[in-house]
Amino acid sequence: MTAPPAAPAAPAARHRRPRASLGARLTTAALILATLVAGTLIILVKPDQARLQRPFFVSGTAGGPVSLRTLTVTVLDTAGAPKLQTSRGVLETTGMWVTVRLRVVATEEPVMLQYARIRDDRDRLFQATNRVDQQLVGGRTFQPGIPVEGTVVFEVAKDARTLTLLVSHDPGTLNIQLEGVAEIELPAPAEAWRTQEKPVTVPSAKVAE
Amino acid sequence: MTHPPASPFPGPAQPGPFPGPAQYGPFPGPAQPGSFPGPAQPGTFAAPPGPPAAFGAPAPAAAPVPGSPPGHYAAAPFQGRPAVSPAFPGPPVAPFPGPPAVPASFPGPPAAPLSGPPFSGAPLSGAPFPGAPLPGTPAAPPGAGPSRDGGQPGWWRRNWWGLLLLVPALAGALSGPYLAEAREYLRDTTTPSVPVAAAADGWSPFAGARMRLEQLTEVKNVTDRSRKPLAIGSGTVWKATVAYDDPSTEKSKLDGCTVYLEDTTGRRFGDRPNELARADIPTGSGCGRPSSSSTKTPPAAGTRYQATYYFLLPKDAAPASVWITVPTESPSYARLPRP
Repeated sequence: MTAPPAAPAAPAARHRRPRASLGARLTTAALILATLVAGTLIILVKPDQARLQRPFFVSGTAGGPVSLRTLTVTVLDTAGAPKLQTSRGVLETTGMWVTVRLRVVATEEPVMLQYARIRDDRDRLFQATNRVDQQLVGGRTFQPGIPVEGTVVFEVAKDARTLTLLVSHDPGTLNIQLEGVAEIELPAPAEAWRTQEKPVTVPSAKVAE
Repeated sequence: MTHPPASPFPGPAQPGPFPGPAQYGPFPGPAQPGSFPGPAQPGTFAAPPGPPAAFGAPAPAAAPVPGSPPGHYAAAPFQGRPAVSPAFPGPPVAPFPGPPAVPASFPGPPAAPLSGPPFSGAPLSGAPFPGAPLPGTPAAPPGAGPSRDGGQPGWWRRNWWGLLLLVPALAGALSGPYLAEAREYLRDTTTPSVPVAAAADGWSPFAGARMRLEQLTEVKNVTDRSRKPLAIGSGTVWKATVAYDDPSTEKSKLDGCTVYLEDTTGRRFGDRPNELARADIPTGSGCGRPSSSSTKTPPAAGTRYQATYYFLLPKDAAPASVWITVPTESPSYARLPRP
């Protein structure tokens, strides 16, 4: 008597997850797609570094103080002419000299006025000229509560019309980042300045009362 | 003589009370009606072993095992509902998270004891009925029991913890890249912000030396070098004298220092500002050992020496302390209180 042949081994039972329905699979695919689309939109909408660190422009008018975080600026007077009277003589230009008399006072700690530009109606920027010694820009430190009045001299294009003063204590070599910038529209009768025969003068700076 | 098993699926027989023809029947599929080869529920399907019920014959009524607790079906004697043999490799039963264990066509447990002819419909699985529990059975806890489709909890209940973790994960992912920048801008370590307090004797240890504010006085009638009154508006000039004790003989950390005068409102004023450039005051700056003969500061003797500083303050400002700052020591600085 021989033993009966062994029956074939039964396949081991497997724990298999049931197949998801078509609706569930489509829902999963839709959710993944929506996540990818949302991520792409966030990346596209998210502001870039330049926008995140953009300066804070504080607009004002001539004659009124414009307060930034570190200093307060007031435009006292503006003048313009093709000639500039300095202690060393008269300087001429093919453009136009524009002088802006400012009152500057620091608020909390010693600061320097390191950024001064004039923006015209064509968004051109003119920095404070280096053809004369600037009284306020670059080399002077303002003490808190000590108002100082002085003149900033610009050399702008002859066809410049509307002029806006931009000043800040940030040096702004490339861009001013996360710092306040005073934006003051200047009363600039450019047409009259272009035909002005009398040179503009630069009064000395002084500590105001 | 033994006969080979007739079934091609001779899986291990479960020790059910009716190890009958399910193992030896000619059909490898569902168990034959009337046979009960499945695992016996305590007190449910327990019955004395015996010959398999004839095909189509009425199933014996379930009889509770003496001493066993009442089961799900103890209240209603079961009639004619065959179970699936565990050896049958068909649809998964209770331990498997598969589709509903009971066919959809099964209407659920009877609300009343069954009677009449034996049921010959779809085979009954070993899983409990997914429907409402019979009277006397405890209700399943919310979320833990079968879902509406009777197989497994719903998607929300299976993934609630993942959804919960998604909230902090999303917040971290969105804010993480900006933490370093925020720390840089909110805690600028290049500016003095952590004062080194003075000891009881007034000396402050800082930058490898000691220093003390010896004197802080207002300077009246400040003139320029031509003896004319200096135009400083309504401001007032203050003179501070600081004593240093610096044991360093060569390069001192104090060489690169900057000195400020702080008023009671927290404003800081610099030493010898532009407005005092023409004033008739001793020149000099910094905290190093005086060595130039051009200054009016007495030369240093030993490790100790003095330095004087001049500040221009508004009329309404009241001095409070002198700051000694060194860039390499930032954000720490020496804060010398007014004596």
